[in-house]
Amino acid sequence: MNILVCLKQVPDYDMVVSDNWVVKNNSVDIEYANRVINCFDEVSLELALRLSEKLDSLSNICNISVISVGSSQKDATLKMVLPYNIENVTRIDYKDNASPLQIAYLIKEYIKMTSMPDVILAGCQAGNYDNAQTPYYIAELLNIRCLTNVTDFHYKETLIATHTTHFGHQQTKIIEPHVLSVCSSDEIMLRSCTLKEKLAAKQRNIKVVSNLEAKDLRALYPDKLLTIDKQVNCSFEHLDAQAAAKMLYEQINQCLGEDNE
Amino acid sequence: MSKKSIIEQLQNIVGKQNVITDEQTLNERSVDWLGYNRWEVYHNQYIEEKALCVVNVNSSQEISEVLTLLNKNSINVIPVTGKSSVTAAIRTPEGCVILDASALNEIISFDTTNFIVTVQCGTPLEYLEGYCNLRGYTTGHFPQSLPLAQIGGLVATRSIGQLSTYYGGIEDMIVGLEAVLPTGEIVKIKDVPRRAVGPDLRHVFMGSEGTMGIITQVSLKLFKLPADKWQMAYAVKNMDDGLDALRDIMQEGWRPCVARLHDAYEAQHSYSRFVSEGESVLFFVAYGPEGYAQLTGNAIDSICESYGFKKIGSKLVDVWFETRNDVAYKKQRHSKIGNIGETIEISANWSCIGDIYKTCVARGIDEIDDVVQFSAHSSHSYVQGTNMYFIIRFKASDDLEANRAKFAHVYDIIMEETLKFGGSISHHHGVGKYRAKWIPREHGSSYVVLERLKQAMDPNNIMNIGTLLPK
Repeated sequence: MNILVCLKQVPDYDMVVSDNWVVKNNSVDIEYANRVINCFDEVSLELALRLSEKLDSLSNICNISVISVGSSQKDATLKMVLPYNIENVTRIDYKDNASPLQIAYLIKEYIKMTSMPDVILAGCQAGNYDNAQTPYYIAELLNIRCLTNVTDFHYKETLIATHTTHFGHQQTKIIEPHVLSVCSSDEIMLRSCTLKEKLAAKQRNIKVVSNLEAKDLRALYPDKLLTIDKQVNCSFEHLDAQAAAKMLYEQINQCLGEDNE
Repeated sequence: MSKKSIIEQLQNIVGKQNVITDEQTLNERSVDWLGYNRWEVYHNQYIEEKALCVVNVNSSQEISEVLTLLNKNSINVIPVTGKSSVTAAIRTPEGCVILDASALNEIISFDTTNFIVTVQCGTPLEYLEGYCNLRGYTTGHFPQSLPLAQIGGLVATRSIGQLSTYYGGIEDMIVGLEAVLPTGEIVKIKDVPRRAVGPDLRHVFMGSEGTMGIITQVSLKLFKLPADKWQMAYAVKNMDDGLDALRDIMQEGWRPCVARLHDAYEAQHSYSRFVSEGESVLFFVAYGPEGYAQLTGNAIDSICESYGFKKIGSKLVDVWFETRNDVAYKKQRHSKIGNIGETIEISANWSCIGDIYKTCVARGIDEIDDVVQFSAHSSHSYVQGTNMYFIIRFKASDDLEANRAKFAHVYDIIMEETLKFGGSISHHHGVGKYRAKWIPREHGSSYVVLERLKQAMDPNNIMNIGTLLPK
């Protein structure tokens, strides 16, 4: 199984001195805050490591790769991942503060250049902008499924993800390839590396991919949204998200069909 | 006397509602914040030995009556207040009685002529400090346990605060105190600035960790809130250079309230945006009356410049001030991710403290499997030497005994190397039960003084058996 974990570097806001929470020139000074891995991405990485151990025990091969997008300023944080014995840690060289769509596009291009993983893990959002869009864009651009609010997954002949819905925790079989949007979990936190593992990792470097561009993204989405001048009535009571989405899709299609007539 | 009878008699003294025997409470009170105990408790594992009961007392008189009863029946007593012990000092041997004095929490007097505040032993330090601040004063005592600790325990452990280089340790802050002896007598040591009337009796109780009696009331010095403040941080190539600079500063006679030297691991972990990899960080804060702090700061700056240290500004010190007591959630996180952690502080003279640091860190990394962190900082300096505060974390396994053995190995390294180089096995956390086995070697030929003092004060040996002095 091949797992791709998407990581984002964020400031450690716990370090920001309370007096500094003052907007100056449209920003707050957080320059001195440590840079850390986004907490949801940490959960993603821990899930990947646990799955790898499980598959290992079943004599199945599991390869974990880590990807991140940004400038060389991200390297120090990315290197924190090397001691976890992850063979492939890659940074796509790009400007910092790229939009979720740009990030997703670059990841898609990287996957096109390498190979489609079975599972792509991405934190549901990151603490600095909280866009909560990147996992969806990745799935959409790759034309694969996306499961949201994932808090855990395990392997029992196939991969099964635990995710939260308004019904509570549900378990869903993962049909590969699949994007899993990972949120916080009470039970899952990224393990520590030992000092010996960190020392061994000092010999290794991250890979940098510099030849990818995120341009002409407007072509992906139309300038204007299609409007439907009709009222669409749907009742989603007692339906899970999948059933509700299916119902809405059918209703909208029906409206579009009537319009075309 | 039977256990039932003891409980009944205790209830007669303090009231039925103040004698607690439920299993949940006795479980929770069976351990303190010692590293592997924290991990075990987080995973719902408690030690087997349990107290007979917890007795909540409300006055010195009640304490006197309770101790008289328990002394007569030779029952082990564990005095507690804030319960922030980290050395197994308040771990409960089977059948002991926990005497909880945290309800004695009144501020008795606030004397701005003599600059003395008198408080009961259960007064929370954080509350007392806030009380003093509102009136323009400070206790000057800022241990990391500030949010939890109460005065009785702070005195009993010879605690120290983060600003001690200027204000002193607790032993420099106490004017007088009241205590109850194991045999029930209530004794008072009066408030005077200094006297030469025999050995200083306050020191019988300071650092006694509940083995010589129960501290019920303390008179502490007041200080004016500082009028002047200076702070600065420096990047330092290595710990040896940092220690040399600290020694120079102290021996020149300067007294910044904070003088901290963090090794490269801690510098990178906490302040990675301020220092390069491999650099240690040295920072200072100076307080005092108008002009004093700036004068101190200028002198420190000059000494650091002579060492070629890179000045990195004062923002790092702001971050330290703001986050210095944020330990609770970090400890919980480490328990959650399967790490056992501990902090072990020692002290030594300048001539050997660097060697102790290097030897312990090297041995720790080499000998402890799955060590996640083995780092240290110096945070309390003196003319003769400084402390070294080790922070150790290692990955726990499911085998409790294996974890305890690894924990013991960590302790062995630091205790043995410290003693070998002539340092002291505890700078300010105290001895508790966990370090008691090293106490005879710590004191050497003077250990007999401690033994005889204990025999004289506690002839029936009921007070916190196994703490400070080994069983």
